[in-house]
Parts: sequence; structure tokens; C-alpha cells
Amino acid sequence: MALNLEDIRKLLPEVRSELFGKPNVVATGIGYKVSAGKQTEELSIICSVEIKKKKQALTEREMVPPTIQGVTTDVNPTGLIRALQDPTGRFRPAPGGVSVGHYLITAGTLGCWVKKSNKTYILSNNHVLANSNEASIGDSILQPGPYDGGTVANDQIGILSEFIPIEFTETVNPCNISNSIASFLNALAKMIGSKSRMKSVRVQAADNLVDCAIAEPLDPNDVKNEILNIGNILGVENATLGMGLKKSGRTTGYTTGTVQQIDVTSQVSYGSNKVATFVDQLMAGAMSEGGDSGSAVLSDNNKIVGLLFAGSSTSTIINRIQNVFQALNVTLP
Amino acid sequence: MTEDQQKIREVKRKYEREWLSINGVVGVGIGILTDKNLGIMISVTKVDEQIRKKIPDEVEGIKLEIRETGEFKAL
Repeated sequence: MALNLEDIRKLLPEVRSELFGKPNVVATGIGYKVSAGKQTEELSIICSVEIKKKKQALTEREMVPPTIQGVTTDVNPTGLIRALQDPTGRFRPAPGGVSVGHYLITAGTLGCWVKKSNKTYILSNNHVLANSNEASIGDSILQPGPYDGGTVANDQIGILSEFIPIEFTETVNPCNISNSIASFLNALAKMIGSKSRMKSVRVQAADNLVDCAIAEPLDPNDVKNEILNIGNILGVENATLGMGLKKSGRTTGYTTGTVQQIDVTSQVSYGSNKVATFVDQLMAGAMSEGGDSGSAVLSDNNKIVGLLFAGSSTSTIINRIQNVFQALNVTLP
Repeated sequence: MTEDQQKIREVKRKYEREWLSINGVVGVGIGILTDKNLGIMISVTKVDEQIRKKIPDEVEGIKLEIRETGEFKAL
């Protein structure tokens, strides 16, 4: 008998407790019945189960009946349904994808665990673990980060081991001041008859490839070598145009995107008039917000391709993981 | 890498510093343009006439496309 959606919706609360009484049922809902792998047009009550068992393995009481109060049922194996865990919480052991930060910053993301000389380290950005060059080696690293309630007394997960300094460009119009100094000196030079004249120039700072750092855990038992809501990293891959991407980060959690640009040279603002130029970057669409910095970026087949560090409302900028691993001389564990 | 990509990369390297010195230009990269061809993408904080005047549609046979991204910030 085919009932309409409204009828079934009214009926569902009445039969729900009976269905949840079956040992494997983890969820009930309304949907089109799937028969022999194909979706039919018949609305049914769908019971999600951890594992679909053979009829012979179940007693009649345990079995989901083919119909309940005249409505067809369907059984759909979904596995155990877990709440997606909040990445801003405290995790011990800690996986990638959760809040982390130097004790003087707000919060960023623990990218993943990496290996160097047989020791395991947290990988994230310089501006997350080393406070944009301002930190000292040995400084406290907190999980969760300070903005998420982490304190030095209770939540120190490790200490800063190493960071690749970011080269910032002077951009705050130093030219106005230096130009006037130069013209003053030139006037002076003219007066004293010197032939040489000065010109103010903007010093071109070195290009950056990476914004990265590593921190050593205080307790090796705190290492959980996987990424929250993604799982294990299955290797390293070279990112190419159009490649599908995913990440798990402190602020926006699990998101996906695609490589829209490669070989990107871009200017990135670090606040308080600090700007740095990055080369050989990857650009993806909007898949991140403040606090996602440091997230490991993976391909569709769960291989690591990058380290997320910057972006705008429309775009995300990612270091190539090969440049990160090479700069820090690390590998996957 | 294809010959096309190599040529685009060369042209990009040759001009990118000049483009990045234009006020409002924050990124230069290689991507797939609206016409589905590979070309150079210019990221700008805001598209305006000044930028349109200074960024050509094509350089040495390579197409350029301007894309408004806003400012890039460390996240």
C-alpha cells in the first residue's frame, strides 16, 4: 500500500520506539525504497543499521519487519553514526584538524604529525606555532589554542622546535619618509658640491615558499596519527590543476575544493602592516576561514598535497607540501 | 609539462613583478580561464578602471583574466 509522505510522517513517531528496539537500528527516516540496487518510487521507512545481517542470523523479534502499520520498510547499512567532534575541544591523543597554537596567538589548526630523525612532531604554520617569527624555540604550544580556552598550565601539548622564518616586505610607504630624507641629503650634496646623488629604493625582500613550523610533543602518547573526520594520510601527492581537495580545520571543519591555480605568486597580509610575498603556491576556492591555518590539504584519495595558510572570502592559498617537507626536512611518520 | 604550460610559465615569470607592483594586484597564477583555456589569472582586491587599463587582455599570445578575490590574509 502506498501512503503519501504526510501519512508516513505522522506514523513514524508511533513506530519509532519499536524500530529502535531492534538491536542494530541506529536511525530511522523516510525515503524511497531501494530494491535490487535501484531506487523505486515507493516511499518507505528507512532503518539505518550498523551492519546489514542475513535474515538467518536474526530472530524474528530482532528483524526489521518488511512492513510496519502498512508502510514498507527498508534497511540501509550506514555504520555506527558518531557526532562530528568539535575541533576546538581538547584532544588527547590529538589528531590533525584540531585547534592548536603558540601561547601568545589566538588559534590555528594542527595540520598533521610528521617525522624527523625518528621523532614525531606537530606540523602547522609559522604564524600558528611560532607567532610569525616572534616566538623562541622551546615556547609553549597549546591544544586547544588560547582562543579556544587552552592555557599554559593545563593544555600544553608540546614545545616549538623549529620554524622557517617568513620574510616580510616593507610596504608602509617608507618611501615618503625616505624620499624626503633623500631629497634633503641631495640638496645638501648640491650645496657642498658633491656629484653623487641619492635615490630612495624599496628593498625587495626575499620570496617565501612556505609558512611552516614544527613542535615536539611533551608526551609521545598524545600523538594520534590521523586527521579528524578524514582518517589516515595515505602518502604524498603532487597537486595539479583541477584536482579535488579536502581539509579538516579548526574553524570550518571538513570542507572540499579544487585546485584553481598553480604556480601562484601572491601577496599575503599578516596584520599590522606586515606583508609577505609567496611563490609556487596553490590556489583553491573558498574552503577556509580564520583559524583554519595549518590544516593539511589532501587529494581525493587522501594523499597530502599542501599546507593551508592564507585566503580571502573567495580563495584559499596553500603551500605545496613538497616545499614544506623539504624546508623542514621532515616526512610522513 | 606541455609546451603550452611552459610558455605560459615563462610569460608569467617575465611580467609578474610588474603586474604585482600595480596597486590592488595581489596574485598572479596559472589557471583555467572562463573560455576553458589555460592562461594567466590576476587576483585583485577590487576590479577597477585603473587596473583594467594596466592589465592587458593578452601578452605574447597568452590570455590574461582578472579575478576579484579581496585581500589575502594569513588565516
